Amino acid sequence: MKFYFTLQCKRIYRHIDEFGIIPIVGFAIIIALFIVVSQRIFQNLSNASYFYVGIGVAFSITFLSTKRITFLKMTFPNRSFHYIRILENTLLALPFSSFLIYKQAYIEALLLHVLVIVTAFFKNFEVKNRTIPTPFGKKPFEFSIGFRKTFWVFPILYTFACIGLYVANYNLIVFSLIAAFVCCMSYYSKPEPLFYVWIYKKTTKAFLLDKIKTAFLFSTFLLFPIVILLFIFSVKKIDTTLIFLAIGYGFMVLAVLGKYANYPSSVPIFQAFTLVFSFMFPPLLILFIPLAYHRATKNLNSILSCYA
Amino acid sequence: MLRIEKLSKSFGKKTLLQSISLQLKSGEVHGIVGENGAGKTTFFKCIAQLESHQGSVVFSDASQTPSIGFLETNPQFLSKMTGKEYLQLLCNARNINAVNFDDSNLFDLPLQQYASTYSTGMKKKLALTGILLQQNDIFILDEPFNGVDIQSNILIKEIIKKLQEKGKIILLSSHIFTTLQDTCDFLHYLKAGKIEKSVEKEKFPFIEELMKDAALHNKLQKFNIK
Repeated sequence: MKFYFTLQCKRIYRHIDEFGIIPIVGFAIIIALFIVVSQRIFQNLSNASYFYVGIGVAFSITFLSTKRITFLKMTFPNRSFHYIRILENTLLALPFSSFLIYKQAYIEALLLHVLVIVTAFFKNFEVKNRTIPTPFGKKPFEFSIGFRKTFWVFPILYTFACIGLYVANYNLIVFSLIAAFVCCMSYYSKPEPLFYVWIYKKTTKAFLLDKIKTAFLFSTFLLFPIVILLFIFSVKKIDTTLIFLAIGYGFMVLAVLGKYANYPSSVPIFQAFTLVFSFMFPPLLILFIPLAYHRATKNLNSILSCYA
Repeated sequence: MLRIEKLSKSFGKKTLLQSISLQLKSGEVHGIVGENGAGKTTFFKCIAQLESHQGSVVFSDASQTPSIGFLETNPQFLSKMTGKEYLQLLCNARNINAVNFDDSNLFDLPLQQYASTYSTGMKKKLALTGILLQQNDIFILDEPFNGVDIQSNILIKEIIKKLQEKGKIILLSSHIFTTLQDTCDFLHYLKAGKIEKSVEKEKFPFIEELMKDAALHNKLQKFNIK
């Protein structure tokens, strides 16, 4: 058991190291970010402590993949397995409960620990075998996979947009639009195995254009209800809506190209860097999109060399 | 014809493949045998241009770019992608349209299920169906019989024969010697990154003897099973 936890620490260390950051600095950044975000939650939300307990429990649930649980069950005897699950959930909850204690929310801190210990006895939360239908079957990949993981987000966003229209809150509809764009962009966050690029009998340019076209078409399909509501809301604000849409599509293009700008590396340094800076100052998209295209072309040329 | 000339591959100071030269003609089935770690998969990846390498891999018919189908030892499937979508993706990648996937379901796979939930053998069958649908000129099959049931093994052997009749170039590896005897015209013994011996069908037993020697020579005595 001791070796198992030492190994987990080593794995976290290696992940941070792989990301190109000195691990000690990485740990410091993670702790600083955790404190800042936690502080913001408590500043901006009423009943923040309960919301915070929810985040803590959700965090422990993310470690409930069938593969992981099966591995632990196969490796350790039953008693050790339960000890490990309780101990790792307790360790995961510790930063959250420490912050709750700092905020003098002692009962909530205790509640969090009780809840994560209970979740340690759950088997998994995955809906493994049920195939969720998608409208993206003709070009299956990023959108069909991504939509199946996040399908529940869209009814919520459409509801927010409808509420925005009902209470005459333009910003709420725009928020739904941005959130939908971010969700679609997340489908391009993880690079696929080399084989899935190599199979294409296309030039690099044709490959990238096809990817961008698909992203445009399918994201438009998902955004359509929100965009309609935005246009219904106010024809006077049509220029603002169009600007939001243009920037949103710009981000989609950057997400697609950014994935291949670092390819086949799974460390999305370029993608993360350009997206963060473009969020802060969107005109940077004009600079970053051609740069990402150039880098992506360079990376893909060697993989699609047969047809280049 | 596929001509491989002086193909070498190194990772840092470690040489994995040393100056391998082979000629594979249309309608020929070539088998590669060797111990685990001998370099078979690396060799296949180099031919498919999935790995950079020294030396050349040339397809003699310059008028066309050959399309290569590569069956990996352990095909990787993305989560939340159905079997049918996997096949659709592979066809899209080669601009092959209007495929009836139900008619092409050679192995009766549950195509509406997520491919990542398939068993090892089913994954291999799905990957094989995918490269067959791509209408490739060259087939590289890395352990196509591994993990597959007996009926499907028989079917795979028949598929290889059909591909051979169609004049395709086939390169495969297997750790089951009888499957190589049944399917291959030539056998190449890869040892420590070099082709130690290449033989025609009549001399396959010679390769088998070579491999037995390599496997049994002193190793079993040294281990001293108790």
